[in-house]
Amino acid sequence: MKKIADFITKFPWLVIVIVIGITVFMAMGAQKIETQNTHDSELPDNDPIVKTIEELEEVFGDKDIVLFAIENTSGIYNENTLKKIYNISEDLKYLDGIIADEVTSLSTINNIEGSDWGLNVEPVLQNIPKTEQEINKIRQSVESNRLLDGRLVSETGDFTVIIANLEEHYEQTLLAGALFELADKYEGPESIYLAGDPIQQEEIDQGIQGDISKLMPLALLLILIGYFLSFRSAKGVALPFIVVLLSVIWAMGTMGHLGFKMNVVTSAIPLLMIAVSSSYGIHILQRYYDERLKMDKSDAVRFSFKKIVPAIILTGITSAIGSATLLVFKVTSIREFGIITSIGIINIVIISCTVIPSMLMLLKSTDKKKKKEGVSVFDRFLLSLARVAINRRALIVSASVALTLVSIVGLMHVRIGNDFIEYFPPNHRLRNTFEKFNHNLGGASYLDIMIDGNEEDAIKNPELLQKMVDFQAFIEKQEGVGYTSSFADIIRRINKEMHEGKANFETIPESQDLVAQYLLLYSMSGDPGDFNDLVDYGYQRAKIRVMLETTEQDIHKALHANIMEYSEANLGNLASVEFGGDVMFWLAQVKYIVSGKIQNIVLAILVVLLVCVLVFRSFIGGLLSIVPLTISSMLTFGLMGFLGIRLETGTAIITAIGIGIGVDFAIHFLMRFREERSNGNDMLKSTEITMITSGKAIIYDVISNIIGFIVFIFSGFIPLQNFGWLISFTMITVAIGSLLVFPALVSYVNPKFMRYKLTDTEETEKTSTTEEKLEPALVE
Amino acid sequence: MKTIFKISLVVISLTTCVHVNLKAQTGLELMQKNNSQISSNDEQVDLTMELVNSKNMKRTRSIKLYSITDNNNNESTLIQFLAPADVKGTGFLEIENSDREDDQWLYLPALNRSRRISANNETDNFMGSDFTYEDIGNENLDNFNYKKTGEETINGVNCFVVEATPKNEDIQKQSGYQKRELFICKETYILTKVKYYNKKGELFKVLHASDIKTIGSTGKFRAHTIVMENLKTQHKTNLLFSNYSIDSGMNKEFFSKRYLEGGI
Repeated sequence: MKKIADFITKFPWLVIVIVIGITVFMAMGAQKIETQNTHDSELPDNDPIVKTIEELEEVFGDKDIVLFAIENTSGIYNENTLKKIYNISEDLKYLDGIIADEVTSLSTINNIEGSDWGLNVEPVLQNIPKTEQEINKIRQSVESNRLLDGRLVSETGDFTVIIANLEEHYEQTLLAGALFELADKYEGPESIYLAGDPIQQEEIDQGIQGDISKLMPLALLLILIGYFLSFRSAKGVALPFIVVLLSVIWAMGTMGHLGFKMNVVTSAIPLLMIAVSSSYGIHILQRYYDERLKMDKSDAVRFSFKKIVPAIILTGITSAIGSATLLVFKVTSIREFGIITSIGIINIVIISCTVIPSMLMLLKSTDKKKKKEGVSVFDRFLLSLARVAINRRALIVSASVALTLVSIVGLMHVRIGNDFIEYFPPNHRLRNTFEKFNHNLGGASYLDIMIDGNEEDAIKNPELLQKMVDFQAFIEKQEGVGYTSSFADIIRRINKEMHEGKANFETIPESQDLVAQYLLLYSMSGDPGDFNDLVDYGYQRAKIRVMLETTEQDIHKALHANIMEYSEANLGNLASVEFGGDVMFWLAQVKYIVSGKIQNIVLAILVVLLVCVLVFRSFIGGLLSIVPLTISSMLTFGLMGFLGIRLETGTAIITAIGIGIGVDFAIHFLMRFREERSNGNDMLKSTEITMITSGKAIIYDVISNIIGFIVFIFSGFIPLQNFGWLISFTMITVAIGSLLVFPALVSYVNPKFMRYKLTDTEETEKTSTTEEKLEPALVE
Repeated sequence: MKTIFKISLVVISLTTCVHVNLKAQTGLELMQKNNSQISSNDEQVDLTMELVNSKNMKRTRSIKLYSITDNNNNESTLIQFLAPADVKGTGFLEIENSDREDDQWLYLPALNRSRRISANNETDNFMGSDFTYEDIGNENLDNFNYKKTGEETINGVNCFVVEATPKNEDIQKQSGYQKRELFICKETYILTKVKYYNKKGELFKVLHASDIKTIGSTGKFRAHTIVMENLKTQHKTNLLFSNYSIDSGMNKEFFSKRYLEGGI
């Protein structure tokens, strides 16, 4: 430590140049960060659900789509609106990225209609209608076709959608821009709603960009104000602020160089770095100012470095380990978040321990300030807090137990998992769009079921088709299901229309040859791509798409279970069944969030226990240390349960971050406490001294962390808003737990390690160095 | 419907081939040469159609095609399906009318009845293939501007390159293409290649015709292999022709519902 201190004081310029070099390298890395486009790689490849999702995509194609919905509250069946539907369908074909042949709308989808004259196979909206009669004809055609009614057009007749398939490589931002432009062009009196992959991804990207451009400056401003209030000097503001800025750049650079992509979870990293790094600079600077009162600049830098850096390193390592426990998650974005945050915290340690001392060496030394003497209001508050902790220890312990028990009740009610759309706040335009789809067209999200007949042409088998019809009828009766669609629907439709549209012929024909001939009939004017998403090329596998009207994951889970049960009981050896679709991805993710979360908490607490056992050389000491952290984690979960905040990717990271930071409080508080006890002070005196030294530091730390974290509540994403509230809540409960529960418990238990008399000089040195950090962080 | 086997090829007698007019010809003249060679009184041929998707999976159908052209230049077509077994016996009949929409019937043996079906659009695909009805129909030379843009050698065959664009907006609307590039064989006036540009102006389909042989003693040429590939979807259609017979004196009677249901 001394050597490094000497090096920095001797060659401050060199240190600065190296830091600048690394910063430039990191800034280059930060340029490389891309936003994550899909959730494809979020879960382990060998997961059974992920495997079948991929299999379905392989069989039926995995084209991204655009949904372009038109609403006219007085009905779409009028010349103007129909003309718009026609024209938008045509305009979409010209947009780059859209497959012109694969635009589905009233003006493009083939409608098979039988009549006395014969069989009509053409789009409902073949030409723009001019007369009332023509308009009525269109309305009748739609309303009598269950493949269109309630699916392409709402049953109320005031909402319709145009669906466009996209080329494999499209420019998301350009396409989204072109679509929004098109929406503007046709808006009014009709309302236009846009959804689909490029739109949703664009909303996420814009949300992330919005967060970064809005929240970063806000967080930095708040930190600046905090520094100014603490130090009231240019140097006091600039130095820790430089640490914050470099920490953000280094973290983002690490992310870019490691090739990690930006997603909603990892977009929290820059703000998190600001929050965590904000306190590091203060501690070093504070120590320097204290020493500067006694000695000249160079000695003060060297001495304070030696004294404070071990404590900083210990704090950094414990926080980094806390974040690293996120690696137990099998969800990629959470793992990556854990990796970057851990490295980021180590970076913060390196930056604050090099940049501040070197800068102090290079900058002109300001006047030595005198510390104010006397007992402040704040100190008096802390002293009374100490007395409460000791005198009301029974109350504190029983209150903690009671709160923990209450939290367990809440914990039982924590709902798990999340849906993509719930990332966005209520009234977000995408959420409105989804609600419109849920309300009018039977849903915006879906579950896919693949029926595999195990041999070519199996899907043409009337027996299997009939099973599919029954299966669909069963599914449509389940809660949350809008409608289902499959290849069997098409066959029934053709059969009906081949029999002059008689309703009793909306059935599966008995002959397999007839099924084949119906398909041939349809293909007489069909695209090669027709039915691609309903049946595979060899007619071996078919897909049932289940549209869902709800984003409620518990309903999805129940539905999945019911469908599984039904298919096992009824499809027998005729076909095997597999599942896919975006809903399945979220269901699969839930499993990993829950198991990951449990492992994560257990691991984090064990690691903390281990570190504290080592630090205190006492098992009881270790056990004591984890008490406030455990209570605090329980409280956070309890609160989530009572408030209905879900455990998902955003909230899953809270415990690791909370414990990582909270463990520092435990170590500092208990160390100082032990120090005071071993100096022969009684329980109350020790508590009082600990309270106004390390207790005060903890409060300052919590405040500076919360200043950083609270900014998250202004995020454009619900999971990050929740993260902001809950991590702030966690910081406060950990702090209260440390300040009140520790003294109360120690006075009860009076553990042996607390009575340990220090004799070894090295031991004294070590304790005192760590204790240095416990100095009040803020002077005034 | 116009006969499919005329799509890409021009029939030209060996004699005219020898006396090729070496004078510079305009795009329209080249197309007229091409068009005038297509005509025949009647034709029949066996056709195997292979649809190949981007994963190289195949659907194969075998059909027998008959066509006849009357004095008013109206064409009637009868298609009978031979394979796969589940559609064997299915028939399709189209009769072209000068004064009204064409008549189309479809016969499904499993239902044992034929139904009239509505006429197709030019841009509709033919039997789920990569060919649209526009691609397989006879070209109306009045509807397009033809410009000779150069010469190129395709697989050792010297060709003129003619660019075809719709003459007006109405035709543009009906057509699926903003532009086509037609490669016409210098010696036979047969189309050996066509490049299709969509309405965005992107090249998206390419046709290759090969295996060009004379048919019997008629001295007429037909391509026996035609491949249409969609560059956007990577879907491909192979047409394999065999047993061509031209001007064998077919009976107009064949092109009726009776023969549609019973077969010829």
